[in-house]
Amino acid sequence: MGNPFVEGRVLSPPSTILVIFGASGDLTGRKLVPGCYNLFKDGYLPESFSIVGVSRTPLSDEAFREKLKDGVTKYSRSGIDEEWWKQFSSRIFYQPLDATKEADFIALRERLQRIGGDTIPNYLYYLAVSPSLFGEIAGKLKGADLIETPGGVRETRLIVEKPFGYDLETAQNLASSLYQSAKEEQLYRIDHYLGKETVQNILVFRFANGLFEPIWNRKYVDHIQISVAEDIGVENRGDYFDKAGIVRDFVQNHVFQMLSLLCIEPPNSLSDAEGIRNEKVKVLKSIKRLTPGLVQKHIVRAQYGKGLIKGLDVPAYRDEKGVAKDSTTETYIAMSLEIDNWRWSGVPIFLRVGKRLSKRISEISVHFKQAPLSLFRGRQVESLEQNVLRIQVQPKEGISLRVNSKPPGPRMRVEPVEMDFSYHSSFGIASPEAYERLLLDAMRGEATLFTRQDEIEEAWKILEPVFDSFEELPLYFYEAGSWGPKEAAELLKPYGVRWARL
Amino acid sequence: MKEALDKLASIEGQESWVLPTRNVIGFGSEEEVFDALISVRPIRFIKVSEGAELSYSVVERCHKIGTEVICSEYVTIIGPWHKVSLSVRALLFPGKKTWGITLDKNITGGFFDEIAPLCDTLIFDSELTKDVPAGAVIDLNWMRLAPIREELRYLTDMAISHDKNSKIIGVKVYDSAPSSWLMAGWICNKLKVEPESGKKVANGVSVKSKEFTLDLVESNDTRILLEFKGKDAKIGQLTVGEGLITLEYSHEARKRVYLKRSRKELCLEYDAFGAPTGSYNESVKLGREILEYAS
Repeated sequence: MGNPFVEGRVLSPPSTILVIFGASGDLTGRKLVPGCYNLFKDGYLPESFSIVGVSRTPLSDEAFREKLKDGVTKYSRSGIDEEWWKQFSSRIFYQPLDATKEADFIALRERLQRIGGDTIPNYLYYLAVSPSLFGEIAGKLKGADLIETPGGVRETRLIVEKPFGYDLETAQNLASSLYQSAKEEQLYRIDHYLGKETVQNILVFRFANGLFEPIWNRKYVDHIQISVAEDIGVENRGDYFDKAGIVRDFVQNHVFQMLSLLCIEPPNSLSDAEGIRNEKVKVLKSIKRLTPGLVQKHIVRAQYGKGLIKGLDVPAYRDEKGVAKDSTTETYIAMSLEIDNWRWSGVPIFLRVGKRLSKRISEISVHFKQAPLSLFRGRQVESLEQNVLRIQVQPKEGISLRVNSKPPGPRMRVEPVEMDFSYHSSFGIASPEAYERLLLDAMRGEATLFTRQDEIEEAWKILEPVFDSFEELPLYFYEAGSWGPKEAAELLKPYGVRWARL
Repeated sequence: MKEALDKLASIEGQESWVLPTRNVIGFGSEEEVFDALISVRPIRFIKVSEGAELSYSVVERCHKIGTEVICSEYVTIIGPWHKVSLSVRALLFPGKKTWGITLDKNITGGFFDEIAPLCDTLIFDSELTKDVPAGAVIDLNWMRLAPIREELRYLTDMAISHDKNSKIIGVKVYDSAPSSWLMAGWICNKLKVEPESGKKVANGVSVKSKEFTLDLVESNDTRILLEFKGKDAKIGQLTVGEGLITLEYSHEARKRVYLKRSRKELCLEYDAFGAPTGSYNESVKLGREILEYAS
């Protein structure tokens, strides 16, 4: 028989021990532990929840807690409260571990058993380490009976962080190494952009409003833009970034994930993770592949030179720590794409992503076709602006719709105005950090906001011809603090449009 | 009234004022719950109660959360119910959803006749009363029972993993809480069982349908026994005690923590997650049917 007691979505996760590999790293202190602290404070975690930090450095539980306290003080969105911290930190433990030593994994198993006591908590492993270690750690966990078959008494899941490969082949190899120890349904590939409220709101906005879905197609949409701008450079990741570049670092994951959510067909249900992921894969499969001859026409590649950000002089990319002096790695990319399906055929999609741009902002804008001007002839109206739906992903999350309106006065004029929805003014509270939602979902076994392997592979397939043509593409340069190279504007000219002002 | 409206207008006029996210009408003495709701997001909170003379007061209550300050308007209206109702109408912030919260044993009378019709959602607690008000209701008791419902699922999973043909043929619900009827109703609903006959037994009630028996027994401990029929007859047991839920099935046993959640926590959970999913109305109907056999 099937289980008659199955109900809808489970809200509070079952007892869980979160085991963080790479516990001494930046992500643990900045995001994971402050995120868990806020979840704990807001009452979303189960009563028996613990964190076990794992890394090579020998540390006591107490020293580890002290180290994390600094991170929570600095990065928690709600600050730190001594009383709450005291309760929360008593659930944090540390276990030194050398990922190459099987004995250390046996010791980890014993430690987890002691922490779990007479409960049988689920184990959620967060691999905040280099992807080159994923396979080895998963294998050792499996060898120590720390990864169990799904659906058993204890659920064991692994969260892995990008990069998911360097290209299609390495992504497949990475997956194969993980599949030796875990099944796809146990793997939670995290993309923190999907944890952002606005990104999750894309589906609600589209499918919960009768107003938008009927016009969400080639008949009414003129074009779509996705912009991801960062004002920071490569910081301490120069070595990694110089090998990867912005396309691998941003486009293959964050940007394609946002694009696929924006353009999917209605899934069967918003609570059906597989249904949503199937539809996302369909979008990626429908993206017209750029043949090597077309890449030049559709892509602008550039690198930042020195410039000025927030009033401070900043060095050129090639002068950043860890970057080769003659590096040809791109820090900026502008692309035009098309989704070749019934809904979107003929609608150009423009993507631009860059580092050391004027400011930090991520935005999706859907530009609708213009209304006819004929009605306004003979009046002081020379043109009508397109209606634009702007979905602001960061730093301020919100949605606005640009509509044309008559300004007060005796004359018939038309001016664009914004109808704004911001999370803060509408809901009165700050959005939780993306990691909070994603960690909670992984504890609950809710996989909708995590990326499946076939999505990863499709994204790489789109980019393969781009990488193949990189050497033939000119590398332009732009001044740090600008909006990128002027050639990016040229990319849009044939379509008669301009980049949205950010 | 004019004073109350003027005071609200002066609060709205402040530069830092943020639009209330909803109207909440509270009835009863659960100040801890009301305070919690006010402190997480800006709302227009209207506390109502019955009195001989109509009187109002309006204050602004602000709470600091991290670097943010959340301010809500706290309006108190006391008076004859009809006059209170007319006054509340004028003070509801337009275009926003209205919740009514009553955590009182008495769910009949003025509040329900005069105030409940103004609310989009009514929050109450069936642990306090067996009467369920009409309309869109959120029962905190239903939310409170959620972990037990979830663990029953795990217990049944254990039986299924042991024997795929396992079938539940009997259930015994031992409980001292006045809410056990709702749990029993939920079990019947999920098992798609309509009680065909029933009788009062010592300390409880026993209902039957084809090849199925459910006993609801008043007891000092809280336990649910599931009787499985498959290759072998098996018993699964869920016990709630000292903050823990213990599951036992055959040779497997495990414990999970039972979240003893207060009304405040449940209200905040509802605030954060919205209405819990599930089959509440059908469970209430079946639970009441079971209770009728006891009388």
